[in-house]
Amino acid sequence: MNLPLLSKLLGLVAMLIGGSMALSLPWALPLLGGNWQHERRGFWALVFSMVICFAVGGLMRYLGRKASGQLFRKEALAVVGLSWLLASALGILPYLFGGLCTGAERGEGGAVLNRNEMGMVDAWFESVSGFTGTGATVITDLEDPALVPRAILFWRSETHFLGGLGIMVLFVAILGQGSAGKALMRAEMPGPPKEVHESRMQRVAWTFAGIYLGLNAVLTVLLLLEGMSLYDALCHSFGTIATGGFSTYNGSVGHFDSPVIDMTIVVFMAVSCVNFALLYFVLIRRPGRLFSDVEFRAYLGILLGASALAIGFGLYHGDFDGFAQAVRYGLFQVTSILTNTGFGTHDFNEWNEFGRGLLFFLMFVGGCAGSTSCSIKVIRHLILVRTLSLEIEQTYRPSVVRTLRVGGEPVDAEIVRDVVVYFAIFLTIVVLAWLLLLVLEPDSTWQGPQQNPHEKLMDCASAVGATINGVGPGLGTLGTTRNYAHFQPATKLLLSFLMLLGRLEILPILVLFSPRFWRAQ
Amino acid sequence: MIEHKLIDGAACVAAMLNNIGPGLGVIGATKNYTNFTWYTKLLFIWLMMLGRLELFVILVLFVPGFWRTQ
Repeated sequence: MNLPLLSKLLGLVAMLIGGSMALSLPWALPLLGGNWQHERRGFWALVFSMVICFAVGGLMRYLGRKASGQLFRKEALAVVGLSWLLASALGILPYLFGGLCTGAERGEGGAVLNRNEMGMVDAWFESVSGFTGTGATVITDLEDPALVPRAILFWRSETHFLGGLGIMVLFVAILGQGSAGKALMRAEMPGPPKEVHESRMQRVAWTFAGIYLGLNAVLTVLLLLEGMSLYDALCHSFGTIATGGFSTYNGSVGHFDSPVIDMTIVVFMAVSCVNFALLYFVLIRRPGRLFSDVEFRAYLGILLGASALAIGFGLYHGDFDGFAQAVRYGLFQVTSILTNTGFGTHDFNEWNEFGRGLLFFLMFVGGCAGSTSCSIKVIRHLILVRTLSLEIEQTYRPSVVRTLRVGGEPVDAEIVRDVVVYFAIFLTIVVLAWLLLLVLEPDSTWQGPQQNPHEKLMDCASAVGATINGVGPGLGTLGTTRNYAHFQPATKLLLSFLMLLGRLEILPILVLFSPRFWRAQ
Repeated sequence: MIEHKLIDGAACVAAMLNNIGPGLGVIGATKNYTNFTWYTKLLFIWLMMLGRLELFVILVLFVPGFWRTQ
């Protein structure tokens, strides 16, 4: 392992995190609507955090000043895995210094009696949730600037933006890890055939970053036109395009109660989960590539099919008032869960059991490879289904050898193996984490008002599903109207680990724990 | 009790597919399968066979290519 090089690159990451904190600063100023009395602490917290980020970054770059040599795959993997850990660690600073509160005990007339300031574990959970684009929160009351300064709240949404950008640039473009569709991805990007590898990677990285920034900009403008303030428009764009799901209101997107805003966000959530290479083809006016792509077609089919099921069963069981409302809320909630965003407009805990079960399984589907979506992703499901149908044929025709094809393209045996192994690791982790969660979390968590201790089994399963897939809200005690605040610190640590695993597709995080990975050759 | 339907349903499928018998909640150790509808019971019968014969032997019966003469 080339440690000096690692140190140098991670130093750069620390400085970028510090630099981007500056974007949250202006929101504390009275000019942009901040109440200085509440914002003062948040403002200085951000300034302090920036100083620390630059100090850490500077130190790491100093330690890595003699770095030489190339960035091999091993170092690249380590840089990506450690970047998320480092970013999350630095990201907690504004929360801690800013005295962010997870909630408050209120007396008569809503007067604050006791502020519940965030501890280390809560801040770590919130920070990981932001950078991994999960959107699971421990903050009960977002709307009181005395408890949650606006500038810090902006930083919270900004972590989504940075995390999503990191995924598109570091993870998908540089590491080429975007997918099981590794090979598919490389085939997709157009370019002169004999181009050197490195410059090609850089070009892909810039293209993806450009599309990502463009989507954010377009959505911000649209939301502004639809009546949001600049602050809300930016925060909700960050949450949508990074498929994160942090909102600036307790009621999430439902706060605005506007069908136009709902549908705009549905479209952009769905678009953010399309392979960015395909979006590039649309931009250069070759949309044919988009509709001929088998993964995109399957993704669109799942999205529309699942929405139709949710709407149909919801109407049958009387979960909605009328057809128009069913379409609006059903489509939004299915898109939000399928794309792993986690915004809410309707409390799906009140839905029928089939609807809830459907949402739970959609968590494990996700969007297309090469997008900001988390989860298992559609292409892996396609390859798995094809593998299984070939295996069934093998049982009665053992001598037949067929190449596995997805959408007419042959898939390497190596990729097929990767996909099957990924499913196995993923499900093993889900089951083990579920059992561990049942042990860690005492039954008393389910003893509050409107809580049902018998729901613990299912709620814990949905907690694992919602974090490893980067969704955010789950069923029951952590539904759309609730949050993770009442969970044990140990549970929060476990869940934040799951978020990191899920976001980086497991292996880049797991290898960090392997001693052989760190040993020099 | 309707609020346990999700996890009880999962337990039913697991109890059938793994040939266990009793499960959680509505099919717990002291309960039985009497109250399920007939189509649910048909599904459970199929799952029991599927689990007993390690999936493939039953699954191939549903593949048209299996019945075709070479």
